[in-house]
Amino acid sequence: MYQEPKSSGGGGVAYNCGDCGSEVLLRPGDVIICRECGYRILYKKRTKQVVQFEAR
Amino acid sequence: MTAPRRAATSNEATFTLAGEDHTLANALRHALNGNADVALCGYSVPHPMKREARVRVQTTGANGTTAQGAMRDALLDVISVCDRVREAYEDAERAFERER
Amino acid sequence: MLERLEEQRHYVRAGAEHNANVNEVAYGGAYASVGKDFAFSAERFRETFALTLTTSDEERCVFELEGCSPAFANAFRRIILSEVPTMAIEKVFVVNNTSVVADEVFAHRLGLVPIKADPAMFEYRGEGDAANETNTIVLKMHVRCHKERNPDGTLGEVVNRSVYSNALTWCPEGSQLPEENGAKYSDFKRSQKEVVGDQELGCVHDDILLVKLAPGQEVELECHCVKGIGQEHAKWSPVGTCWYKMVPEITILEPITGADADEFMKKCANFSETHKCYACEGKGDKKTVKVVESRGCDFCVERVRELTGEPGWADKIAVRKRKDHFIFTIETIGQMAPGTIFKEAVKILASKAQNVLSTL
Repeated sequence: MYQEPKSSGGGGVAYNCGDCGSEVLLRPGDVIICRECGYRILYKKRTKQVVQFEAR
Repeated sequence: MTAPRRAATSNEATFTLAGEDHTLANALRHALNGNADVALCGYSVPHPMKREARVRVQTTGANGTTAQGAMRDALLDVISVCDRVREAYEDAERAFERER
Repeated sequence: MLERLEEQRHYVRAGAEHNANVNEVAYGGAYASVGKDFAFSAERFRETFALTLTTSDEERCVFELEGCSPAFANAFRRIILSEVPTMAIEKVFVVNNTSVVADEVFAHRLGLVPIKADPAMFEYRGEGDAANETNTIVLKMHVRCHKERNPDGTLGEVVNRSVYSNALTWCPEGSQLPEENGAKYSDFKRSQKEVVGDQELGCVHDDILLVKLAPGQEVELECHCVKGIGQEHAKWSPVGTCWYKMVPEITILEPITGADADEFMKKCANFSETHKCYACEGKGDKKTVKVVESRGCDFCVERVRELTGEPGWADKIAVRKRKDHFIFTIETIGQMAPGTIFKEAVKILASKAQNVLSTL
């Protein structure tokens, strides 16, 4: 259930494309671009920690 | 609840109801005013953010009614009213079911 | 004179500009000099109080309280709104939320979802208490919006575009989140099924829209519901609304005849064919208005009240409201039957008095 995403780990850092939502793996020096759709805004992934909120 | 020490014998007292508000205080005020030996009764909520209500009772002193005695009677009256309302609601529910 | 006093005592006069005689005379002996005793006494209350149920279903009930002071009616109303306990989502543990709704906004939304559980089966959870099977209900949700893949490999319909409250599922064994720094999110000693019997816990309604997702977005979280009262937060209020109104009474003070009768019928009665609160007797100058339904209805009471503001009408007709006769309405949000809520409120008022009594 609560597994770590496969892409994180040794082979670079995974980002999410701001347009199509697909995962983009970037290594140092890579061009910041989505390989699926060519969109140039990528987002950092959310923390894998559980965050607590008060329902108020 | 806190009451001045002399409330047990005096004919006047201000009772502080901790954790209560208009709900109980107003009902008590109404019940106390029904008592013929009570000369004056009123309540206040000193600050809306502080959960506290104060009920002031002054008795005429007739029939040996003390402030505390009047308060006790009023509380018993409120309980008795609640019992009657519950009974009445249950009866009304049964009557409603019968008619359906 | 006595008649006047009795009217002042028992009725509010609803005028066009203002209401008269709205106050309750606090002092019980106020009418002693005219030989009237209107003072409250528990014995008299037991004799004169009457309650009739007029409408009742799972979500709403209407009943009438007769011979009851507003001090008590209002106490019941206030308790129903803010002191009858229910269960509601209080903590939300978000594992993942890539939707456009921010975590804290979503948590607040979840808090307002009515939870179907009998609060009597649960205990209040104090500050620092661990979540256990008697004080916490755990609900989890894991939804991902994506495009379905067709058998031929092409992408098809988008699924989970809208997430409804039925996505929240009950976890009777407690939290399913992994331990964090050696601490568990709940401490269930046994299954919650043993506490609640054969009932299934969850949301009252399964079609409340919680969030909308786009393909690729995902929400995964766990909610912990606790027992609370409306005073702390409105999400714990067992009702949507709860109110009472005084019973209106339309009284003809002087006979309304002839042209006046026509005017009255035109302004207050004949606005709809089905309206039957008033009727006319006789013809021409002898035509007289009769009140058929003295309570009037939602449509005519206000019309009559406004008419009393027109020149000459104040002496002919009056809208009065009985000060000790209430129509009480409870509209629940589905967790508890309205009758159960009312009986619970009555019990709470008695226990408040009992608590004070024990410290006296």
